[in-house]
Amino acid sequence: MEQGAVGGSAATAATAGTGGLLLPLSESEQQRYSELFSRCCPPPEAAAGGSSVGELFRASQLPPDTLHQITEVCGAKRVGYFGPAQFYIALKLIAAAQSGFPVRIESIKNELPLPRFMALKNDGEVRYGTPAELHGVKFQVPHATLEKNSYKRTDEGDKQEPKSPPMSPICSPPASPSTYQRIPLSYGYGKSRSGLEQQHGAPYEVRHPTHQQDGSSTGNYGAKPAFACSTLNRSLSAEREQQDSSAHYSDDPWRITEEQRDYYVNQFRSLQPDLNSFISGSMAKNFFTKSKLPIPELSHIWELSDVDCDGALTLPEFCAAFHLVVARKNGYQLPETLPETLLPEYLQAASLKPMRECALFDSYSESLPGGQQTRDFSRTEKSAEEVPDNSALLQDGKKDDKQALKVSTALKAIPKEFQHLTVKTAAQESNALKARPRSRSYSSTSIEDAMKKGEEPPTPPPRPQKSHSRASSLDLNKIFQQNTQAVRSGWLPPPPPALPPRPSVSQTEQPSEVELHPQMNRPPSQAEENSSAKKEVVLSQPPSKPTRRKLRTEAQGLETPELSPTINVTSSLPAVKPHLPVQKQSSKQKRAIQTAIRKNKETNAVLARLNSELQQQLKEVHKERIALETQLEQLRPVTVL
Amino acid sequence: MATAGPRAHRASRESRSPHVTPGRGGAGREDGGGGDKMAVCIAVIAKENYPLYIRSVPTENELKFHYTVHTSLDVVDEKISAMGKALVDQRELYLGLLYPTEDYKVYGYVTNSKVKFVMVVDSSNTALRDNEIRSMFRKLHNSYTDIMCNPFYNPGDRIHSRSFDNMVNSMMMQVC
Repeated sequence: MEQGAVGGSAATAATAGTGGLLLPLSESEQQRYSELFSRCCPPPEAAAGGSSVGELFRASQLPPDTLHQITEVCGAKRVGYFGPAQFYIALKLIAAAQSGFPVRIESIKNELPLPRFMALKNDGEVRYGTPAELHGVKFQVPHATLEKNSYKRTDEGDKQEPKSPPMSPICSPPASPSTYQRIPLSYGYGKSRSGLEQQHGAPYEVRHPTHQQDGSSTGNYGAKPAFACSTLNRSLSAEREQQDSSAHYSDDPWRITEEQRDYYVNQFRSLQPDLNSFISGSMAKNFFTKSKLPIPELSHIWELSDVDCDGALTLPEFCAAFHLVVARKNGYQLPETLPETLLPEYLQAASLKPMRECALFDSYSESLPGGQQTRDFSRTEKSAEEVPDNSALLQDGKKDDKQALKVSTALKAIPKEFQHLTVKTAAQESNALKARPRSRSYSSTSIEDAMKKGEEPPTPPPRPQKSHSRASSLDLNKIFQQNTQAVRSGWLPPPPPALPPRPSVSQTEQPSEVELHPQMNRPPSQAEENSSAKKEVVLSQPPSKPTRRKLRTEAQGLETPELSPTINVTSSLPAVKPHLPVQKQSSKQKRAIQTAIRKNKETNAVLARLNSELQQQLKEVHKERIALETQLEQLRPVTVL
Repeated sequence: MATAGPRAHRASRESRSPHVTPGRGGAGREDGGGGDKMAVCIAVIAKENYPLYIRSVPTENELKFHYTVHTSLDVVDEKISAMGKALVDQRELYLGLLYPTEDYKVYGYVTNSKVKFVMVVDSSNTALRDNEIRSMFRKLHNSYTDIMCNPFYNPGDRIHSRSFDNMVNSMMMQVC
């Protein structure tokens, strides 16, 4: 096991580092200490991070004086950092202190039970001391795990590998070691992660065990399958404090993800360049008023987030407030009290390493495929470039059923906007005016607004061409403009543009359906089938190139829209005509015709759609009429009498 | 360094907890009729003598309390003016017992911005001492200043703050 090797080397380092103090570590101790050390100190670094060490020490439930003493004795104070040697000694001293021995070097020379760290999210119930030392310490984990202590220990190694892979695609490898501290994984990505978990079987970096080992509070350890499921929840939590909330972190809307956090920080910077300073109340008021939330709610949000009640927002307070605004806009009810994950100290600690965007764009790019998939799914027939972000996100909001996903897509919207905004806010940082960046910042909220009420079908912008340049009959233009409004709501995408030869046929189909009949080889039985039939015709007609060329040349030559359909009719009927000599002429005008063809194709599609709709309406009206007639029939005998 | 962090962390957390949950401790207690700081009606009156916030114990005829508070305003004004201009700086905010009736007692408190807090207390609640009333007014005043810090609150608006409500609820008598 990789950790074992690390542990072994660390153990030897411990013996060497203590300057002659041979620290006898038993096998289990070695294993445990190396695990703890690797958790606090990612492999590339030589020393354990102070905050994580402090957290671990706190988890030992010793009084702070004792912890101070331990720090002193182990030599960390002296050397100034927690190297492996110091760390191991400290752990042993903790064990000694927990057993009741004084904090001295001598006391750790004896055989001691393992130090106990409770309630640490990272620890998990696996982190058990010997069962014999259970007195008085509250453990959140079921006692059944006691016997499985050693079993779990060995299991841990195996479990860590499958656990860490889920993190790998999310947190990119070159990310800073702070990632495990902050674990800022978006809860919205939990769904995508479940897929990823199965994909990656290869073991990944050891430094990610912190992600997976938390979650003891959820208490749903036990079976391995449950373990695998719960790794998702655990991996999604950002654990730095000893929080034992039973909320599933994957669903926790009160956690600020990395990209959210960066977005908020950038917004803060746009208002107040100095990140350590405040935003005054009036500035914040103007800013948040743009979110178009009602004032009482904003007032409540302020009350929640301005913890020190000084009328100004520090950066963590601002992030909390912003997050609450975002959540509220996405439909979450405001809590009565500030959730723990939004506490300023929590956020402050999380922002200790502020700019280590571990997975901002990685996770964003991860989310993008997911987002794009839903988008593409809903717009299989539309050309991608013509639909703007708004409609895409609206469709996302429409498609997503679950609130969490909805939030995640909303928050995906934020990074999208955020990307635009970073450019703009960077440009305007020095600008004293706050109106412009803030107006853009709330474009994201407007998107969320739109997403919230995203039940109405999104109407993509109209396609640029609404009139036909050539080869269009006048009546067609008139018809088209009449029906533009009606059609717009039900936009039928044109047949895939990969079939340029077809439009010649579709062009002919536009003027009337009557012409379709002679043209199309398969008889369109009903009007509704016309649209689909048109497509089929368009898609399935084999004779393309020679026919097209012939059509084009003849259409060019004649330049009369009315003639071109007839020409197309006549030309398509034979369906095979060699027109080689005409090719050179047509090549020049090909492009012009192709554009016209495309336009006509689209109008054709529009009309087809309209046609189908009208047919449906006609059907309904017929049904109504029949119903009314039957009613009349029923009533008639009565009136006669 | 590592150990300084947790200690500061704990201390800050502890200091914050009463702030986040201002009145939780009091709200949970059942009122046995004395011994607890329980008012029957609490009102916040603006400078122009219109109510910014008024909350009574629900079972009673609330209009009676509104009337009581209204009449107490005269007494408040009297007390303020009685101190005179010279004593304005030294004027104590706590006005004390404004006037007693047979059923209840009315206490008053004025801030420097002439915002008045009026508290009606049941007369049978004899265990309520003066300094308890003072502490209740102090809590009210603190919550009021917190509300003023909120930029979304316009001075002169009615008070709709949830935290303020919680705090007041903690001080009100719990009538089952």
